[in-house]
Amino acid sequence: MEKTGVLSAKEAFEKLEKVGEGTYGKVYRAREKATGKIVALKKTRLHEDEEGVPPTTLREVSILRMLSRDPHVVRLMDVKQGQNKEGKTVLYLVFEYMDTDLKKFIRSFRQSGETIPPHIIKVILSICPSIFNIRFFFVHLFLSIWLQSLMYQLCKGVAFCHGHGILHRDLKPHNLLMDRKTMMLKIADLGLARAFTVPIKKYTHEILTLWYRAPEVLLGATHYSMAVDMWSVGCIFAELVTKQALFPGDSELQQLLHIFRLLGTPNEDVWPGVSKLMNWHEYPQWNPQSLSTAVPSLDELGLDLLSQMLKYEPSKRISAKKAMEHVYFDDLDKRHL
Amino acid sequence: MASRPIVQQEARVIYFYDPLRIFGAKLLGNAPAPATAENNKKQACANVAGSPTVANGGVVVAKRMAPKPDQKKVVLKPKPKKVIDIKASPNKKEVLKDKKKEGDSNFKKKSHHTLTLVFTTRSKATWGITNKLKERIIDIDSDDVDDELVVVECIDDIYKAILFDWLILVHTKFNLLLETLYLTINIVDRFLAVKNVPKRELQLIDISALLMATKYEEIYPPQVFGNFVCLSDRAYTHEQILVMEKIILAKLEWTLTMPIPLVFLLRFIKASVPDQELENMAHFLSELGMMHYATIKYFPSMVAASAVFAARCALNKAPLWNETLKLHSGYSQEQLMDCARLLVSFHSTVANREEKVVYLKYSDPEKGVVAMLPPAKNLLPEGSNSQ
Repeated sequence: MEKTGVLSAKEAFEKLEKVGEGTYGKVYRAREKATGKIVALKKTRLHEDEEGVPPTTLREVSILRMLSRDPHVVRLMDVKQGQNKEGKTVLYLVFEYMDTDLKKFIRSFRQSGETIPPHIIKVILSICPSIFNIRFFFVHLFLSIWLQSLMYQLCKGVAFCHGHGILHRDLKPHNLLMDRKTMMLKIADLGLARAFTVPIKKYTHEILTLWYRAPEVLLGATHYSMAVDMWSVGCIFAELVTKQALFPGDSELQQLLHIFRLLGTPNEDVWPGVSKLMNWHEYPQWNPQSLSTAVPSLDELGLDLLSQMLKYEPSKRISAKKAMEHVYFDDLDKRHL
Repeated sequence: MASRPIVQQEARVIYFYDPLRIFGAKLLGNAPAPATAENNKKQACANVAGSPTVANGGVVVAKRMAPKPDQKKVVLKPKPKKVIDIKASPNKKEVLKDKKKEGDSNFKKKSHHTLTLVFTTRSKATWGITNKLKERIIDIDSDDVDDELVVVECIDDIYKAILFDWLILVHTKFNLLLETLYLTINIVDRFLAVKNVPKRELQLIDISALLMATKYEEIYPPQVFGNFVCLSDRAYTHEQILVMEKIILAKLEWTLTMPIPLVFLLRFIKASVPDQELENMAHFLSELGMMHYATIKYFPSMVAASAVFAARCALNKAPLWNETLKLHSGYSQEQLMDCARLLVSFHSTVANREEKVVYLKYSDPEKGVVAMLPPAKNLLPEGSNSQ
């Protein structure tokens, strides 16, 4: 990352269009005037009249300063200051530009049915050349390779974060950026991320978008670790296969009930200590269903990996590093990823 | 003897009820006495040794030095004893590839299953970003050591101790995480190493650094308007604090995800299979280390390991260092000796210092009164009187 900008954001960049908005502020597609390079500008207002640099921005920039060298973490190129129309200080985080995110990508797939765009076929063939030998291949075979590639990249990015002692805590399709041409996936939006220490200390349980939130967090655990990210990865995996959210709850209680209906209501046998968690109550008793009922088109190896990502007991949940070594990914040519 | 706790209690009350005015007065009143020729010589030596120099009116601290090559010595390995693996669960094990330890070309780390790797990786990644090779700096003031008008003013241990005393009081008052305390000190040290500041701004830097550390570490950081302005006894405005926050962030290039001794300390304490007394003593020694600039030349992991080693020595734990600790820390007993002796020397003099909030903190029964225990005799130079 360059030193905090000599030129102000206004002088250095030309805004092209607004591409997103959130609690943090707006995201623009912009052109760097000096080089003509397309970048993403994430705008954050500094609340001088209130609390200064928001904690989320402080953490995000600091953590990205360390993680940005990994190909599967979005690259923070610069931090620039500017002023808005009211004369308030505004901070611009300058990121490499990615043309879509996994949420949009899944939505476009859902709308176009099962047809695969030609550029994806080209990418898949480069990742798995052995497909050339199959005269009649089916759409699901392509989808399977495409799925493996995206999931492997996601596990690799998460493993890199965890290997550097960073929890993301907000993994969801919207926060996974993609390049349509190369099918490259990158983890973004580390506003809720934080460095962890061992032994794990107390953290806030108000993290993670509801649908991807781990059961220990929903049940009020404040001591949690890398397993919360792996639960999210599992939910994303299922969503990539079915094109719809695995557990689409609209409240914390509904979210838990969605999980319990599929995986069975947990108890002390399957998850020691669950009944001591802050939000534990007597819940309706459901028996665990087979994951294939929720994700019917996923093959046996994929279901095995998914089941290990969705284990109730956090310490039994598969790590990102172990997930990368799972036999599900054996067909992939990992040199390209 | 019986009245001693009462005196400490009084001292604590005085500190707590008016720490802010005391802090300001001390800071500004602690300007070094007119430099004698002897002091000047020392100053010149310090500059020659590589400390940065600064124009009149500014202050600096010693820059973080690379560890000396002799910090890590290769020792013949004795017969392997039983090693306890303190891993949380077997499926999280990660094998360390043979890697050379930072700062030493001779020392190779064996392939081990250890979570310390995570912290070392984070540490290396962070320093990899910020450590750029710099040209050798010529000491332009060496000819002027006898000229009182040009003598460099340094933030020495007295200033650091005053700042640290105040920080611990604030830290206790707001019931903040230990991580926040360590990160604040880290931010202040790194900022003062790259920026010369007038003495009157030291407390402002402290407050802004504390603000940043609370935002980074705490679940619910204290509010600027309600709390941080009052901390300075209204010496600084709300706006000044936030402007300084931006200045510090820009100077440090937003790098706050840093290897602090505490991260390693918690790990090494766990490897020590501790009782509460050992844990308190290790924390006490580690915090004493933070008060002094002499520890800056050591890696955070070495300071942490030395604190655990010195604590074991002080409490006569046998063995003083074992294979488990060696495995998880990456240091042998011999490698820790210098740093451990330094921490023990701080322990032996802390009771007689004016800045003794750390001493009072760890003289509390809640902390096992470990500060009042005698320091590790085997690590003290002969003939030195402890406490």
